Amino acid sequence: MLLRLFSTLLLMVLLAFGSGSASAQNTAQSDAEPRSETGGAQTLTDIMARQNGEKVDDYFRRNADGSGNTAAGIADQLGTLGGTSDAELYRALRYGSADITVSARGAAAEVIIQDGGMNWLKFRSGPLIKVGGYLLVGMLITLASFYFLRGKIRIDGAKTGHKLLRFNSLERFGHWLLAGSFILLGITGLITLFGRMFIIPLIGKEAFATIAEAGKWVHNNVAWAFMLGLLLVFLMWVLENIPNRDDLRWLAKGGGLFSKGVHPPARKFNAGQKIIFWAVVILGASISISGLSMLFPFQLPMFAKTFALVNDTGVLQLLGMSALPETLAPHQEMQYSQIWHTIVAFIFIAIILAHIYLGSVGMEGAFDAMGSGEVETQWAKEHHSIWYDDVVRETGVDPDKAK
Amino acid sequence: MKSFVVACVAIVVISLTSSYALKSIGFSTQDQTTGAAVRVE
Repeated sequence: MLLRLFSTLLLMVLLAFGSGSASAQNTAQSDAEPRSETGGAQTLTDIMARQNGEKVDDYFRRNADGSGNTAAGIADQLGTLGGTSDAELYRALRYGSADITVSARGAAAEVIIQDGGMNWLKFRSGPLIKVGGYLLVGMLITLASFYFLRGKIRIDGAKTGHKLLRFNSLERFGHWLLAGSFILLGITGLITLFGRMFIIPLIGKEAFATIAEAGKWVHNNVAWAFMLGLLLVFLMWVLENIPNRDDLRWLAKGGGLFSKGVHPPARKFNAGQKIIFWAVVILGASISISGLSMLFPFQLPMFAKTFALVNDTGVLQLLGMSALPETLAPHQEMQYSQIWHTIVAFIFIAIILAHIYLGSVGMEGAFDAMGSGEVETQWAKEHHSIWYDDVVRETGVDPDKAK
Repeated sequence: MKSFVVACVAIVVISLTSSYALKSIGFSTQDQTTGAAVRVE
């Protein structure tokens, strides 16, 4: 009896140890290779994580491309395919490790599958269009509200009827070269971006194709006039747009934009115009570089280098963000260029809408500066008093006293 | 507004010139990314 009891206990202890060690073995195996249950393939957890937009380490697929030791032996079941299965071949194409020979030239031609393109497409047709569209509509509503609340900013004092040259013909030419090309680029760019959403439903695909093709030609070629105008404007006005203490005083009074009869002193360019100038220069240069990158596809990659520079600053690590990718496929470079080009364009257009408003319907006498080049002296005294005094002193001629 | 008109003419001239120049030096995407055995039309 005792012997039977002892044997039972011994058996139970042995079984408990046995199952425990087996369980530990399974756990260890599971920790070492979490996809052992699927033979190395992705698990339901991987699929669910990917569908939830979480980052999945895809090493187990990326490396299973049939190359090197991962290929099946020639005598194995897959030997007839040279040891590489179709799935492995497609993974090699997808992750860019396949040995490809193409007759088309350029590194981009060797990229057969680029699944990052789907992220680009979703971002382009989703958040990019929505946020950008709201920004432009928001700016138009803001300007319309400002107009109804503040009204047109009039010349407060009595008009003298005398004129003063504010911008010479070269300055006006440079401004209109930049402005005219910007408007054409803005319109054709918006047509390209919003065409599928708003124009195709109205006029159909074939009619839109003609417009889109013409718009592409305009966008690609007018870009050179824009870059020339940008260079011209920068060279002509950079010295007069260097910030100084007068700008702080001007900004402190809101430029007199929000209250009647307030006219903070300003030189040739006030602080508001300087902000516009530097925004145009910086955004214009940036949009030109990304535009050139798209104008010459795959030849001017810039984002991998830019990302490396950003990573080197260590700012992202300080903010707890992961490093930006420093190796990009040729197509990814183009996709980043397109997205950056569009983001900059939206901000640029929003700023220029405000500039157009103040230079036309928003302020009496402002358009003359770029129209005829000559402004009413009372306007000059109110909005650019320091500049007016400088001109009178330098020329020795007071337009209001000249016969 | 003479400057505006001159600038508009300049935009047209620059655009036509750039189109012609880029085509002449074979800098189109089509020329750059295709070989003798590939045709993209």
